[in-house]
Amino acid sequence: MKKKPFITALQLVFMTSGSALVFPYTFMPILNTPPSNQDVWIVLIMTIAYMFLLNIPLLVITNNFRGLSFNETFEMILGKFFGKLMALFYVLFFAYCFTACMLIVSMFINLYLFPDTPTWGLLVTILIAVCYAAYNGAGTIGRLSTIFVPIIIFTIVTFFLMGLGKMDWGVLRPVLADSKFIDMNIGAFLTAARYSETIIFFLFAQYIDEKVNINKTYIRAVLTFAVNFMLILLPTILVLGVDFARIAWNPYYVYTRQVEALGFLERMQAINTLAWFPLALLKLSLYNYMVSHVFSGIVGAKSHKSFVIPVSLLGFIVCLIPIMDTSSTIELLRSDRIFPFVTLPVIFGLPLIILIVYFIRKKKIKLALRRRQQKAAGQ
Amino acid sequence: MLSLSGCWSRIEPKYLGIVNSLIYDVDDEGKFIVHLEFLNAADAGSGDGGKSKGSNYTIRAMGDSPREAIANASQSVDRSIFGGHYKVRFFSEKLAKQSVNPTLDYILRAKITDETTLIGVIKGDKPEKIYEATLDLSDTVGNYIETMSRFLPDSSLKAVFPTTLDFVRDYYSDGKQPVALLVEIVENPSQTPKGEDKGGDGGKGEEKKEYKIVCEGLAAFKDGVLAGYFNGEETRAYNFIMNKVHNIHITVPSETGNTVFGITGSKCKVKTSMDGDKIKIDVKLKFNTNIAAETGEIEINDPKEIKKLEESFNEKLKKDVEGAIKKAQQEFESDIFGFGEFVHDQHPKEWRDMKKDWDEKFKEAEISVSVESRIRRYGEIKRPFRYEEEDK
Repeated sequence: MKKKPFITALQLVFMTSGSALVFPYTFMPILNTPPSNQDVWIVLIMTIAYMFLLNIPLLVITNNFRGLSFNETFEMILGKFFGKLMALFYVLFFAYCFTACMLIVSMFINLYLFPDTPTWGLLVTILIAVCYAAYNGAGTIGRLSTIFVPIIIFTIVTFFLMGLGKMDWGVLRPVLADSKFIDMNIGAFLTAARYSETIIFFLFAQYIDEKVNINKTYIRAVLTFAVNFMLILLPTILVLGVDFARIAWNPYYVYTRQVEALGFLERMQAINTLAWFPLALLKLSLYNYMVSHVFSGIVGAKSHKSFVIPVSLLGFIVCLIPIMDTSSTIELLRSDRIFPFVTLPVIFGLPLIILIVYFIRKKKIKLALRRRQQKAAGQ
Repeated sequence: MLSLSGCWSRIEPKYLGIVNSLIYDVDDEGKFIVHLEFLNAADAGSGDGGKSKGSNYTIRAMGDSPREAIANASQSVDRSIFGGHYKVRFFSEKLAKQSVNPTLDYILRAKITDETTLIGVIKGDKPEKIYEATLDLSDTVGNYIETMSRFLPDSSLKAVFPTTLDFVRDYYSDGKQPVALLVEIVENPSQTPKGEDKGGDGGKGEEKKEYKIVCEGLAAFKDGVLAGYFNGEETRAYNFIMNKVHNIHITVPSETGNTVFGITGSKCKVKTSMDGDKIKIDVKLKFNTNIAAETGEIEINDPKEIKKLEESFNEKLKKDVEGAIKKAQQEFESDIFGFGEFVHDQHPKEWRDMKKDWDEKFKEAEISVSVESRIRRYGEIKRPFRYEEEDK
């Protein structure tokens, strides 16, 4: 059953943390979740705890079904029909993430970089690169992550260091005085609920050497994300102030616009853009691949490749529907009213149901797994 | 990305009208007026190192909103107006007294206008006169103010140079009101126009007026509306409270002359307390000073004299700071010092109830100022120069 391990643990860490970093780098939703004040950095720390908690079901499943594909795992636990049905839910979710991300990326480019370029022009350019990466599959995406994610981490650290002189640490005061404990928990929960990258873990774990400890890799990925998120969040609020940062579409980009050094290093936001764009493409490639891969499993196709372009076209068409390509729709899609509640069932609710079914049918499933392994060994 | 940059949004630099500074103004009928100062990139890059006079030009345009006024300006410019290199944006006194909020909304919303630009108010009713002023070594008003903002704070604290971001941050703060750079255009009768041919009468004709730009004081705002001005000394006191102190000098009169103190370091601490509904604010200022000059006959080697000098320094600064705070409390009714932020920090529970009417509370707050100073050095000579001479 063991497949060729063509993704390393480091690539998986970069893929998940890089994909997760796109949203804070782009619009930092944590600033608008409760308590929405100077304690937001504490909310981020609390978020990590919630992330671990919410991801337990998916991690347990990932650990117990190493080597099996996404569809195989679901069908093994839930049976063929319900397994396919469950996989279909995930396909819809990945398609939603793919489209929402594409809308957010095109809006950001339109607002901050190329106001005159039509959305279709932006989307075509984005999708050519996305299709290429997704078509080539998990290995290419994994290798791309090892190039793009270190670059973005480097820019995050550099921007943090270069902005130190402008940071007003007094912004963080008073600490824990204006926030209610319940609000902070709600904020942390909603932020954690946005973290859907554990599914990437679940899906790509089949390509990793079985000797690799999934839990350790997961912890590394979460910490990479959290530390970098903190390095994005802190300078943004310390330089812009919490209230102004909250009303900006892309607060981190606005922060990087303020960074200058040595009297001649100015307009550094160009570096932000250069690092952000490939990362956004990486996220889009991941989601495109996941839609295509899981859908090909549902319909029993040999390869995901034939679905890459149709998925891209579908996203392209949805993004061009006039009502979708408006700031208010995008704001709604990314807001706490929609996004966490779309993500939560997929990262916690459904995996929990699957896990319960797994524990109920554990003996049968174990037996089936053993047979599979024996069959694979016989081959 | 690279291919797109060469597409729809591409404008060749030679077609850009690069705005270096601009003034937002308003007329009596409420129409917005903008004065744009363009940088002539071709001139600036010429062999004269860009220092030639006349390498900038200005235009005026009107509209129902600041954005429309700028769009209307395009009708008289043969280039695409580019605001990515603003050095300073000014508000006229008239507009600032009405409200800068609509203009700021446009500034923050627009893609091209960023927050690093300096923000100021031009005193008087003819703000456009700034473009007629002598610019010394600079070629544009924007560059002149920007260069000044880099070097003036090192020698004088009588001005502030906030960026648009500083202004916006303070605007959004519940416990602090924003301030802006204050610019005044004054006549400069001592200077004659450079290179100006006065005609065949050998310069006896009517002399053209020269103006100069004076950056002294600050413009205090309250909820986006100009509340008043601080003069240079009051602004210096403001900077002391803001902990924005560089190596500056202060002259304190003594019985026999003047003593010039060089301030090498300072620290301002603010403590707040509650006495029922009354708010008490203690402002403690500590200075490290040097004697930079002594024009009188004080024996500065004598510890008693040093003590006296310290006391007179403390007294002078206490008076200055108290005066500035009183003006903000009583005239502006605007907490430009950010004492509200200290109350928020030190009494967060009480702050929740008072933050909405903090301006009222600030007006009635009991504020005490104490100044401590220490003279650490008195330069390379031990006695006043004059004293030494008489001793001979």
